[in-house]
Amino acid sequence: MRRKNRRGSDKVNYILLAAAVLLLGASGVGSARAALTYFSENYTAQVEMYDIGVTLTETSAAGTKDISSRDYTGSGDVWEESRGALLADMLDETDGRLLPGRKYTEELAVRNSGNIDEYVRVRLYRYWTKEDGSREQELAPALIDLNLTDSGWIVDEEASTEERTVLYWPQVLPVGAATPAFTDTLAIDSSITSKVTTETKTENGVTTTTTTFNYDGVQFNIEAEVDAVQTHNAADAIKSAWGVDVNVGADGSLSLAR
Amino acid sequence: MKHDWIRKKTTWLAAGALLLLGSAGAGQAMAYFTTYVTAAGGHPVTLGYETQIEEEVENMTKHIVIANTGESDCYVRVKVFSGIQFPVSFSQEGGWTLADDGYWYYDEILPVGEKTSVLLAAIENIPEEYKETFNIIVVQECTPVLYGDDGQPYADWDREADTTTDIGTAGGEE
Repeated sequence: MRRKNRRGSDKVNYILLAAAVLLLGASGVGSARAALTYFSENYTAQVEMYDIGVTLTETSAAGTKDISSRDYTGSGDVWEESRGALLADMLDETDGRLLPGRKYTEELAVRNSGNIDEYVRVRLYRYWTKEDGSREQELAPALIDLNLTDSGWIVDEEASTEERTVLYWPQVLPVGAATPAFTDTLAIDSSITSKVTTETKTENGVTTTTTTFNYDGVQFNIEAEVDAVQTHNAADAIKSAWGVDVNVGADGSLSLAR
Repeated sequence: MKHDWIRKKTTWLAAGALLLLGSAGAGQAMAYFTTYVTAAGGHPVTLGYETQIEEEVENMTKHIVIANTGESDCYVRVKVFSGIQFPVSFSQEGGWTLADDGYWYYDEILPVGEKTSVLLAAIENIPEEYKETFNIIVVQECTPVLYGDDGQPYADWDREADTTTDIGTAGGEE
């Protein structure tokens, strides 16, 4: 009885093994067929490349340039990437010196540098750092006045904080097209210059008052993260990639679902 | 009983394995085309506003000059205090304007490393016995150059940073 049972379970094991081998074999056939299709002349003519790509552009007083881009090359997991720095030309306007209160030109926009249409969003960060690179928590991010334009970008108020602003471009961004700029100027609030500590000392009848600026040497920073996603099955794709619920209209217009 | 359970377990395992194999394909079908870029930038804020007053005294007249020794352009103003019995008369070669608040304002932005024109403050009618001990205080203040929405520079004297010098006895000696 026991032997019979063991034989029975052996049989099951053999069947399973055979099934596994078959499945493995079948998956090999699949790719072999795909390979054949790929090399067939009739089909190569119909191969479409779905290469997604996105570029962040910046316009300062010195002109417009591409800052960062990441475009799929169409083969394997190979991307053509470049990463630049924002604000590099900002102080050219004022001979390299930062003038508090002055509005510097800072127009940021997104271009579709791939060859499929896409939806894009931007997450903007602004914050202060001390001279040693650590965060300066005493200064409000709002003192970094990165002015948002009124050009159609949707601000996701619920996802935005004092330090972070989340923006969605509510239309399909066609291949080669650029969005309107989502920012236009950057100014550092001059109130940081009024925060001083004074120390008075009297020596030999002469009184000297030394004034120290509390925020001398702090650095302001801005950061932009641009995300792009395909337009096919947009609602599912955006939910999967960005984790947000959106409504997609028949004309391709995008709105946040709340 | 036990063997039934083993058989059942094997069947479930087989079903599970098949499901897993199937879902391996599903995972790929769910992948979407996405991409992203990031960029960052910033600049340090330099707030080194510093001015120094220079004064010479000749014939009971102070030659007041202010130098911008800081790292940023600024506006400057000066106020002179003296005993009420010794009025001060001012003269200059241009560049300074006396306002109602008693301050002399330098009209131009004072660039880094530059000096103002001379403001002369003459003390009149000092009796001989006071000439060695009279005391005049010159207050000089500077404030950063600010910019309005229209890009025009302006000074906001409510946020001045001031340094006071107490000038000693006549003759420019301390």
